[in-house]
Amino acid sequence: MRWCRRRSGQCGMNAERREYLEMQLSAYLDGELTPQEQAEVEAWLAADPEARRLLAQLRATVEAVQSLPRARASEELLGNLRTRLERKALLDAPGPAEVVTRTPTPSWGKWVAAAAVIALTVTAGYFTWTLRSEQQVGGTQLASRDRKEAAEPEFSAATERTKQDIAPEELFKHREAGDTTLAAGPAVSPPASASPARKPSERAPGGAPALPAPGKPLASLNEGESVRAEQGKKGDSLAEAPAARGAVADALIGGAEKDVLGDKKPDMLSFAGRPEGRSAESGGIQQQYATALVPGADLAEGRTRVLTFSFADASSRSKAIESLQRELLQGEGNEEAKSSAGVPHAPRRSVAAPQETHPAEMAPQPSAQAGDSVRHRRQELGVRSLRDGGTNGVVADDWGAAPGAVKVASIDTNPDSAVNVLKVVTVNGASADRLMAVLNNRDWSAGRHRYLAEDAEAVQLRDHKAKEDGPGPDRRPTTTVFDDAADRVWDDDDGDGVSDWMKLPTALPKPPATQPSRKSLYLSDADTISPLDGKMTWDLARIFENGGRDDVMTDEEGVANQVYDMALRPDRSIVLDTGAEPHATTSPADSPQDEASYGTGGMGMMGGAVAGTGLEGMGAGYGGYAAAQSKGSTPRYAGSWFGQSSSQPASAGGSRPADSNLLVVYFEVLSPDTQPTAASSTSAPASADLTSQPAANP
Amino acid sequence: MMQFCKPGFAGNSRTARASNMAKQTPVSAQPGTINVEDALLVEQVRAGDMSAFSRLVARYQDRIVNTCWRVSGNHDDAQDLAQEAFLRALERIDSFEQRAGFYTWLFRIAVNLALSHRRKAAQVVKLSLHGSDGGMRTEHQAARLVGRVTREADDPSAKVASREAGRLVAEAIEQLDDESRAVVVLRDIEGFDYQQIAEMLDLPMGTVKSRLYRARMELRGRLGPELSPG
Repeated sequence: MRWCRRRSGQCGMNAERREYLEMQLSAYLDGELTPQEQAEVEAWLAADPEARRLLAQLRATVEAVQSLPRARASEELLGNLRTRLERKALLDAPGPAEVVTRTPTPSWGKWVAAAAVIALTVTAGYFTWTLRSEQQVGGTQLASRDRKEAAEPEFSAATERTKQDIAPEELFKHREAGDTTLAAGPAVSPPASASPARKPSERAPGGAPALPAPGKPLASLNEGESVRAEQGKKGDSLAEAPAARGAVADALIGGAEKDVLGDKKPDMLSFAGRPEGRSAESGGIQQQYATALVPGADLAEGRTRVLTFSFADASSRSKAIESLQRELLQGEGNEEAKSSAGVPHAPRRSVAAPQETHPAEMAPQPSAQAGDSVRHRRQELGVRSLRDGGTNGVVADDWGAAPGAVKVASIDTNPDSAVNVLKVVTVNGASADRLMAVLNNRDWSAGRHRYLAEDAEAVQLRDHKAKEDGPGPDRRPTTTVFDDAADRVWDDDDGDGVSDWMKLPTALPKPPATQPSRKSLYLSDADTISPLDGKMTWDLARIFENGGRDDVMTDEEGVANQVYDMALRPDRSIVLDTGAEPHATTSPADSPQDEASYGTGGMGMMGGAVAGTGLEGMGAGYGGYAAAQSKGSTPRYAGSWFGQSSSQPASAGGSRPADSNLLVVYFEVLSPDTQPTAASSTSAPASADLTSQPAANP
Repeated sequence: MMQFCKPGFAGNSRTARASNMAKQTPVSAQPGTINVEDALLVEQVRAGDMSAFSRLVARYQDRIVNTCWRVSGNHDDAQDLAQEAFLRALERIDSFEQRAGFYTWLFRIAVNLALSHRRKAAQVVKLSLHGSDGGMRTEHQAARLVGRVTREADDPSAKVASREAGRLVAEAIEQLDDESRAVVVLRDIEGFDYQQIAEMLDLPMGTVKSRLYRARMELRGRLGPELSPG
């Protein structure tokens, strides 16, 4: 064989042949030649020093490339990826409906696509359960209509017996000691049965399990009553942490349907309590809940609303999901889901036969923690409301709006995910949209803003007067927020024995005379400038700047002053998460008590003001805002989306920030053809109800 | 002849290379074979197990990031590109047919993303550099870069002193055309074999072979004869 050298012209091999061999030489370097090709190259190398030199150069080139420094994935990559996935799942535009009522194990591809499949709940406004650590026990308000409580047990027989056999004081001791075996309700749901059926007149509001309270059954407690029983002074109960907290929280659950305001509506926000005192020992209901119990508005199909349940840790969430899943699958009207999920056909609920109980389910959960009582029972309450014999009672309101069949489409139970997703198929929905309308309506927002800007005490007194004398005079705008509004809104200046904030509903600006147009449900570009006027514009602007996410109520230390997240959806509607958990642990300057005061005070001032009017969420948010301002904090954007902000320390209860343990519930609205008949017929006229103001006095 | 040496560059190069390749190649070296663990993880992901996906990410994230960096030429964007690659993989995992390895598929996504990103970025650079002119071709930019590299290459002592050899190599790689650069990155940086590269880039093996050869020759020419054989 002869070789040629290109430069020297020494020939024995043409250029084409040489190029072929050089290419083979490159492959030879990589060990990619067949034995025959390899032999050929080696022969060439042996005969041609130029070939050997080329091989050396190629090798040096390869090694130079290989020696380049390597990049490593950032530590945040996985977390960021997860965040993106979750965000994408939430933000994907809805697609054609796909009702899946079978498996609770969605594929990941479908997981992401799920968001595009689901549309809006009719009934669910906005509803957040924050299940935080013990110091942050909060109460939830569910205005569910337990339409079948007479036929359904409220709690497992064992639990019922256990709690009834224990004196309330003892129960609180156990709770205080962190012993959840008694105080904590089981994380599991009851098998159908052992407890006797309630009479309709004895129903537990919202289907809540009744926990004995000092002095009287909780089922008959109003908010704050347990406090009085303990202290003889209203408002004091929350100072008795943690026992009192638990009692109050139980009372809140039990009192979800109470109508202290006497407005013929559940007092969704009237539970708001304020921890008396701010010592380190005193606790309080830090997180308040604002469920958008508003009259139905006409909703189109194909829109999405979510209920976000925030848990202190993944374990709590898992328990909730398990309970939720079990309850839902065992619930009536879910036969398809049961069969496809391999769940044994559950007996229909009826008055209990003891042998139908499942001791294992009733056993205390080994992993239960202090405070779990409230959590679990809240979960059960939600489950029960969801189930409700196939009726969605979660946000069924006092107008009777929003009942509808509920089926579980799927549940994502992966504990590693910051967000689990529950898909629920429901029918008819209104309240959430109504919240959007409220949020985006200039008249309302302007009024609220002005309201907030005023001296809180003056407002409440004036409004109290307004209640008696008619609409009040022009209010005095001021940039100074009352310094201690959160406290004073609880005062009883008129000496009628009722905190004055309860009277604030009468002071709300009048809602628009007509139903806001459909257009008003969305933000336009122009709206970003001044939908809410003044300070709120600051927040909205950041929502847009940050791709539709913000937690707007953090102060300079990054401590959330309450109360809500706002998210801009692709359809440019805004999701207001009034129950958003503070996004950071507290600092000395912002103790849990302070935060509690912020939230509670704000809730008291504004939440109470709007109780029953459909503005609960706004009240909560604005209240928190006002409270934050009153402390001189500067709200700033903290940049989180469901707790993935790196600036947020993990909660005490889990490895992730507490607000990353979310259970997001999607509601898919069925088409009218598939809706049960009862759903729409019970919906109340939206505008009429919105314009009606609840009575102020209990 | 000036020796152009830095650790791992030429000295003990065979050993270093072998070690480097071994570390960089956790995947099967057998063409066409499927990593069983990957396959199981993929199935778990399909069943909704996010933790399985997390394991897949953890398994390949470093290499994906590095690939994105070298193919796109932008270190800052590599993390985002890698995220995007994983995200797309997850979104489409139901359509992934496990006839080839998951990593093959994943790297294909990553390389395509990185190349696409580079093309877009090149347009942005062109506009920003030349304002309203906009007429300057990317070839001219490349020529300028070549000139810069050449000028610097004329001063080997400066190169050595400033330890810019790696940068020069990186820039030389960046000056390769997209297809050649992808092949070089996948082979010489990530250590994939020809079969795997062919699957990733959807090319015949012969094309991979020839592109790699031409790319290496081009690199050899750019880096200069000073590039010392080991």
